[in-house]
Amino acid sequence: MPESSFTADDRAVSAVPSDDELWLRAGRGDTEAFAALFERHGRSVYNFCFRRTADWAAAEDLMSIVFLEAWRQRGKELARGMVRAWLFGIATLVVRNRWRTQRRYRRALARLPRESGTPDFADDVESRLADESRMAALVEQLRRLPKREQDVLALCVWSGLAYEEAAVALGIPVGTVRSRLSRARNRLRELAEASGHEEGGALPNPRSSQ
Amino acid sequence: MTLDPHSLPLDRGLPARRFAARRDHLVRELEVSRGRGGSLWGLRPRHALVAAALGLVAVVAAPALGVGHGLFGLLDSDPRVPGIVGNRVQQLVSVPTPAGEASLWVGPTEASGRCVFIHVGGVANGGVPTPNGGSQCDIGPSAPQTLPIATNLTWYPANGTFTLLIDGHVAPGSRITRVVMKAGAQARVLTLAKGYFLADVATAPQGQLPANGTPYVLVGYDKNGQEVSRVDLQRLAGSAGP
Repeated sequence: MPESSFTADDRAVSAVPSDDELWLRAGRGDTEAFAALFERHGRSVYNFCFRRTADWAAAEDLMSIVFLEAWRQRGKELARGMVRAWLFGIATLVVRNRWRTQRRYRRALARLPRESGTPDFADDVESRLADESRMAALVEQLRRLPKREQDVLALCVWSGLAYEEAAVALGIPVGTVRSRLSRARNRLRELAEASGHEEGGALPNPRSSQ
Repeated sequence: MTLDPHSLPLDRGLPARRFAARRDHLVRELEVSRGRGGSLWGLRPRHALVAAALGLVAVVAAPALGVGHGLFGLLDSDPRVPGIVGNRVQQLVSVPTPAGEASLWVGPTEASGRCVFIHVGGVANGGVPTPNGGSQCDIGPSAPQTLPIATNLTWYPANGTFTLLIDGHVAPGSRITRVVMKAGAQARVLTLAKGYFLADVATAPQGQLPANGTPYVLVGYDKNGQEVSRVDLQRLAGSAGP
């Protein structure tokens, strides 16, 4: 793009600190930088937690725990562009050890101010309940896969992480992510066939950063 | 039901007010944790197990190191449980560490013994510290210390890794009046309080010395500056590590 077409809006966009920059600042104790990461990734972590638990209320607390846990490890050096992936890695562990982590952070969570007035979810409470029911059935089905394949599927397919990001999140080589996902796909296909159902559409391929 | 893992419920966000409440709560908690020296909401269970295992190793090795001739105690070392007379514990030394302020405490046991323990984190004014950094206790009267400098290493969780603490005691008859920790060309004089000392060595992998290859030694000198005793931390780590 020629320099002359560089607009003020473009400059405004480029001035937004990257995840890496925010993480670096958080590592130095900058709580506002960390809060900016929360604002940026809280929603996707929240949805990820919901998809692993089929429980919106639990997902809300788990989202908070993921970020509290991330803050605890704020001194960690992360590969460039991998803050989001790393947050998903923490989310995977937090969900896996859900009861333990909730117990660990119960005091912190207890300090969350109680809501007052009309519940925030009044408008979509029914659809949220329907979500939970549908997700619970999916989670139940997914439990037939080994946990490590569930993790890869949840990260790559449900949350759209690239193979490389999932590898960072789970602390495993990229090749292992690929092979686990491939095995997960095959197992799902076999399970669908064994149940006498038509196979669902092909699982979308994760993005690749290469 | 057909497996169709991509027929997911749609993404949802929290209502703005609720999300903002979570954000504000998070920031408050971060500030609280920072006020505690960056430490958290309690020792992680796994780390507690590691600490307990290290304590157990230290206990087994204690007689060889000249400390703790009786039982000791990670398992019964809380001054608020039988054993230590909680209201008579005294702080000896305090040092800053990446995990927060670490302090060395000593207190008598009900059976005329003695407990020495490390507490990491703040202590409320007038409160009783907990031995969350490990402890060593003699249940009954202590036997004389046989080594000029008796030492313990503790790897305490900090910022996703560990910080290595060294504590110890100088035998009263050893003539040692000054203890210096040397790391390569650097030397640090440690504060002695009633013969006890505590120092934060450096960040280190669990059970090992810092990975920079620098030799760490503890040297005790008498009042004339003559070396009386020397402890090689590498060898000590080899016997205390997991």
